[in-house]
Amino acid sequence: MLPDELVIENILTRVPPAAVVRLRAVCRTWRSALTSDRFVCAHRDHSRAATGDSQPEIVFFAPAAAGNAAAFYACKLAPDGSGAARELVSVDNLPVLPGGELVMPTKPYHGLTLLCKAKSSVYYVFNLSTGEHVALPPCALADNHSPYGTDCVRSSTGLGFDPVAGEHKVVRLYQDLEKRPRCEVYSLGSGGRWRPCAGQVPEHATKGLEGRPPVFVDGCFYWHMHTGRFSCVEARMFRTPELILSLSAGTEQFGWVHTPEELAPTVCHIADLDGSLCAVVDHRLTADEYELWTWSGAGASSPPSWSRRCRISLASLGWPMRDELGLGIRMLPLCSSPEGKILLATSRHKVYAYDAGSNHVDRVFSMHEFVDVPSEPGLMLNIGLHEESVTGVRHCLAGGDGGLRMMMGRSGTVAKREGRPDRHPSGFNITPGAVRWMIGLAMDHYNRYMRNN
Amino acid sequence: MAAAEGSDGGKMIVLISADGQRFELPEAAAKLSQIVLYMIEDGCCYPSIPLPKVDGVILAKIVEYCNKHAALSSGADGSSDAASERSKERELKIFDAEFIDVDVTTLFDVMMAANYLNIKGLLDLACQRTADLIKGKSPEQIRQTFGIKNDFTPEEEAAIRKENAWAFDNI
Repeated sequence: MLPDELVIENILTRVPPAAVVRLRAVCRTWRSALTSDRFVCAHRDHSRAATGDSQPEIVFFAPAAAGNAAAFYACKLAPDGSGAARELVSVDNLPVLPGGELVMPTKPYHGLTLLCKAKSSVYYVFNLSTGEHVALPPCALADNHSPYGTDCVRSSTGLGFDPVAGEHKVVRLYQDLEKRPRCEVYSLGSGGRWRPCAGQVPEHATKGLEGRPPVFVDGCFYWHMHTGRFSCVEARMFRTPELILSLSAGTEQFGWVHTPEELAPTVCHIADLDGSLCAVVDHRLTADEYELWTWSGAGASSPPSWSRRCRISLASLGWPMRDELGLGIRMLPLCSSPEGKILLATSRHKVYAYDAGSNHVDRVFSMHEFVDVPSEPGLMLNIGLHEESVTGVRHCLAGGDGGLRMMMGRSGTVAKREGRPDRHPSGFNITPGAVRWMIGLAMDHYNRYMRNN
Repeated sequence: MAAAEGSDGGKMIVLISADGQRFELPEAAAKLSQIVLYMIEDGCCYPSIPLPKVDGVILAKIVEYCNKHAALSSGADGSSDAASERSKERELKIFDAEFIDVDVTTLFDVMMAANYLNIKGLLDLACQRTADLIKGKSPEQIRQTFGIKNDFTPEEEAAIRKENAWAFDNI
């Protein structure tokens, strides 16, 4: 018979992740080998080598046929937009409600993705390649009271990795019902319950939270203190030392990331771009452009600094790209493509490849070619990067499965649908120009009002 | 016996299987095996190389593989334009697919021989074929294929199947 080493290192590393889960039931030797870190790494290295190309793969989700279900798909991006999609998993009772109820970060960590139902503070850790998942234990309710009736919850939860303890951690920053800032940690390795974070949460750090996940880069979680909707009074009352808060996954101590004064107020989002913290600056209304800034990181020998990665001039893109990128609630960078372009995903369910040198943009993915597009999510995107991985979720966890009814995706590719209209169910198709016109009108009224009083 | 010369003037290598069968193949083909390559480099390939771990039926397959791949490997016949490269690649692909379409016993024997002789291309081919065979199989079918004893208690196995129940649908 074949030696175990040959079987495990040369054969089982070639089996698709979804089937690897089943192989754990063969015998004890296989089970312990298949759930080891060594195998997870070997499998990842092998699938990277086998695919032979370094084109990024994305994951996207949409409501499934049943309406109350979520279906996750992966799509290999091709520079000419000809990428093929395949179904990963569908979950029968995980609704993708309008308004972005289901929140997914733009990047998995070691193949694991934290999915959350933002409004109800229900969290799942998923491996979307294998379908393996757990529901995290119930946690304390977060404040969702807002005097302006904006329906969002004051919490933000992310998945990261503590290199010292060698385990995944879920960190939840939230404002409790008494409006106190809190931070709790759930260790995937040891399971159990949520426990208070070791570090003291800075004052006002939870005032701007809206349910979006933090960014996890280089051992730290980062939160953007989203002050955009604060009134003048609130902005003064809830002022924090800086606009980006950090938390080390290892030491669990908070810190602040300095952003230059001219940059700080214009940042609308933060993201992970090729392993660096990236600030998205939205100048759509004032200058018809976006900017991406990246941070050198705290680990560098020189003092950390910000530098502008690119300025995306929408005005010079030409129709229809100007409107395509300019419209919609949100645009976040995913990563660089092998051709050196920056992949930008939008809440309108599309991905664009942006060439900073020539300020040229190509659409490389549009969800409507594969499925009926959901309405535009209010909190995040329905698109993130995908990492094919056999990282185990369950073997290190004592959590329950949360009663999710799962189905693995059918094998084979998802056929492209020809001739479907590309429209957004609830999107307001207001052009940036129209918004500028309305703002101009409002400014006129305001100035006239000020002069007359 | 002295080192033979092939019809095209290249050196020939003689391999002897476990059951004493002789296989003569061009040096370029024999060198696809790292083990044989080292022996040739060390000059201990004459008059023949005994391979006591590989029997004749399997060695015949291995020699067939090496001959085909050496003959079609890039630049073997001096032509190197892209079109002929592509057609050779296609031909090798078709050859590989037919070559490895064998019963499981032969597949495993070929894999073991490729592993022992250190023929990377053939080992990859055999491992990929095996992976393709097992990806749609149930744990019980896999145990039978690999001759593995089920050392889980019924309760443990039930628990494992339950925790990833969706993975066992339609199997």
